[in-house]
Amino acid sequence: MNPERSLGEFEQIVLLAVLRLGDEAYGVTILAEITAKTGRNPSPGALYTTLHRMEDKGLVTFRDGSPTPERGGRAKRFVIVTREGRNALASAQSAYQSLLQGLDLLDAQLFGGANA
Amino acid sequence: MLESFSSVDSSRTAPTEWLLARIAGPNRAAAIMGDLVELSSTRGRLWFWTAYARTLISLGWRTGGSAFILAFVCVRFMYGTVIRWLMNHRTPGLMDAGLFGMYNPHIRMLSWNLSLVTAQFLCFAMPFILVRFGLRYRLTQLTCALFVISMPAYTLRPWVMDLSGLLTILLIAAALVATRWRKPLAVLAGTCLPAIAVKVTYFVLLPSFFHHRHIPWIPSSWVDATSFAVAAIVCVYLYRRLLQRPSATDHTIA
Repeated sequence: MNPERSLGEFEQIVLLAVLRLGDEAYGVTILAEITAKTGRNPSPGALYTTLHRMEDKGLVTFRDGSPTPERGGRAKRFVIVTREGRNALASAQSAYQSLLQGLDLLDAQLFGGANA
Repeated sequence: MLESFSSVDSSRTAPTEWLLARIAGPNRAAAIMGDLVELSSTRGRLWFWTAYARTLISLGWRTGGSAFILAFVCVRFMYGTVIRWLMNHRTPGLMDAGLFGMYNPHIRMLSWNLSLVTAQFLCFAMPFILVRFGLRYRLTQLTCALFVISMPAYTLRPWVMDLSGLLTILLIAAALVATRWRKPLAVLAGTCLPAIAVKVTYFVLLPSFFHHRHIPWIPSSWVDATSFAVAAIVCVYLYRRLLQRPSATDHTIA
């Protein structure tokens, strides 16, 4: 894999959260989704830095929504994962899957196996 | 209506949004401020200002301006402390030998000068590129590798200087041969060459033109600052032209 296209752990988390949220992925919902699914509470600064870096890499793009009063009349900026973003994420996840194969880590954690 | 939703007065956030827009651009800044205002309705005013400050720092420290300031501070530290420590009072007169020993022809300076010139400009370019782009990019990795190899030349021990010069040549040759490293090398060369040109113009060409008289109207620290500013501008420009991926709007949306 091209190292400059390789994804860091937080980049993968953000991309997965955006894909899960679909058309409703913007700063607030992405932060909420990450907190709900991972238990992490990332700072908005970390999220925006990551999103901007991924935009520069061509992994995500943005779509402007309409202004809303609860945001002080500012528009939401919805995040969309590009095809390159999906490919990079799939590549990173398949690498994890390959490494996990045969370790039974998830089974042990979920079902309280001998090695848990 | 707005008051019931938001705990942060929107009119008060206008200057903060303006400041954020200087770093992130107006569209990004408006969206970020909107998110922070929306979140502050449940998390409070203190959270808003803390999150704003952290966002400003996170986004701001990788901008060209802050990278330039940090790199300039780093250069002062390198010249004032690191290089002085490396030289350890060993024959500092060699530093005045001139380009390729032009003022002291009896001194063998060819490989020494390559390392010294490389190290001298990487004292600025390395921290600038590291802060501006981060360690994950080949440009930064190549710059750091060249810096580590060329910097020992400042010990002014002949065998270290020769070895450093040889390794610098080998690394540059390897980067020229390898396709993946050619563009980062081109960006780095393009960054250093105009900066070197500024210094060579001032320290070599102008004195020759004015018959080796000192040129009093330009302090040498200004020459340093000018060459570094040229390097920073050229570096960011070449990075965008040669290494940055095309704009996200050009990509097919999945």
